[in-house]
Amino acid sequence: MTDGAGDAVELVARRLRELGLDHPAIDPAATAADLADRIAASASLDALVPGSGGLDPTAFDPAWPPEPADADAAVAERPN
Amino acid sequence: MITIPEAARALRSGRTTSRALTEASLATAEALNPELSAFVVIDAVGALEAADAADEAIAAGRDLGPLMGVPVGVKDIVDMAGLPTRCGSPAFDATPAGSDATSVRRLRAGGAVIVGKTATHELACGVYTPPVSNPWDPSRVPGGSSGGSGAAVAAGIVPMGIGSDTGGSIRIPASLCGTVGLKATYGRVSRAGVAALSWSLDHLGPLTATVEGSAAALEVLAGPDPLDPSASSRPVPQYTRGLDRGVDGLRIGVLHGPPVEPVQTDVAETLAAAADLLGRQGAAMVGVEVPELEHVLAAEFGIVCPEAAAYHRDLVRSRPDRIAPFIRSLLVAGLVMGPEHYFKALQARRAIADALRRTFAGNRLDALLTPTLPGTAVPKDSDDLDYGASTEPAGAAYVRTTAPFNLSGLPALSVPAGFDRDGLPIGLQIAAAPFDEETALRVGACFESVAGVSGRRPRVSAAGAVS
Repeated sequence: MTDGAGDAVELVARRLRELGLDHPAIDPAATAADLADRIAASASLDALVPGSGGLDPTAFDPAWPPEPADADAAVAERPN
Repeated sequence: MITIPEAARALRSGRTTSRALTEASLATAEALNPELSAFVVIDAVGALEAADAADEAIAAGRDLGPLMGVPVGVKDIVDMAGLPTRCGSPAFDATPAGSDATSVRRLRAGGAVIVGKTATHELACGVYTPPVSNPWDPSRVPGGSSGGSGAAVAAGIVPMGIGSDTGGSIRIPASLCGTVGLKATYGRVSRAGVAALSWSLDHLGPLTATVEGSAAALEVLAGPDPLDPSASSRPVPQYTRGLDRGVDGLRIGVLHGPPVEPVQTDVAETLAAAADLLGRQGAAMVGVEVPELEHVLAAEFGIVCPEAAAYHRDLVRSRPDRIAPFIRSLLVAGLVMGPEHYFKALQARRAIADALRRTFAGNRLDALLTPTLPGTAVPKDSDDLDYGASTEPAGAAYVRTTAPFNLSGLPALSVPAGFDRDGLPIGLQIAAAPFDEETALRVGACFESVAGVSGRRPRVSAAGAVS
């Protein structure tokens, strides 16, 4: 019988094998600890992205779509 | 080494030649590189051939642009035909690149003289760039990942170095080495032929001695590129025009709260003085907060981790023992973690970009000021930035103030703003609206002209260097 941490390490070790990452340089225990930190960081984003069905993550546009007021103006100015 | 505008004027008036500038650059590199390690490859033969070609063009009355005849360095993640692209990693072999990156092709077409390749933090993923030394204090880091270009420009070896910026990797070394660094809008500069770290966050741009030099470099580097689908087809303005318009009538935000707290005391005082100075030049200074930026690090690394893992998946499977532990763990995590985390980080990026848009629009801002970094260069043997009452890992501290503009894609310029009590440079970051590099450069040029911080020389620098 293993404790929770042991289970997590074994799960990670299995996943590493499945991904072809079973290499002496990649330690399952260290990877499990690192993953826990990264998953905690990801969880912290729930405060910013509360619902999974909200923002379209593919809608990134560095040119910024116009604000609604600007969009209305743009529509008004558009020739028929 | 003279600045880009000085070189342009001297070359066109016949007061110097590109060969003379290039020989001086090569001699300075030979003298300083053993201490700085800024360059990983110096291509003296190729540089002198390019210099002679530039001199012939000048003699024939042809003007190839603002970098004609100017020696430059190129970060070693950017392909140059005939030279290997090692990415600062022992895992990469010495096979020469078969062709030039688009940016290198543009530099060559513009008559620039590429002196060599500058050092990068391994895989462009880190903020220290070992073994490069900071010219202001060689016991300290130059920043990263474009630390070689930062040190080379600060020391006066070249007046311009190409860098890349995924979370701050142009602006971090610019701030720590006391140079100007420009990350233009996402898509403004092609990344074709450049090793990626994170496709949706990577930018390419210049580190220079002056703001006008950055404007000149961007004129050469920017533009559409069929080899890079993310490259914008928007017309490229003449960025060097209008730099002297001042800031009278502009509205400039000053960011408070996360992610610009905590900062070192000297940095806070320098930012306040910079805002005051710009206000006295006629700008309306507006304090703003963007609470969403508290999540910038989680969003940034939540995107970098899986994108870098996807790009380097063959490497991490075949030679994980050749990758530094910190980077290896990031790549492994990116392969193991599920897509939910990646897409949540992309959603967070969208929320952060929207928040910045609302901040600009709601306050009618032309530009936004922050300290480039919360602190100055840490010693090479230190992992932490010291705030007096507390410390913070430098790997996080150096990214939290710069990464908002990778996540949002906004242009952001770092200009030297002062020095801390140890004589180490402090940078001022100026962000602007999408594709409005002209305003960031205009504010930077105004600040540079009145702040009076460009006269000091680093401890390790070329005799007579202007940096």
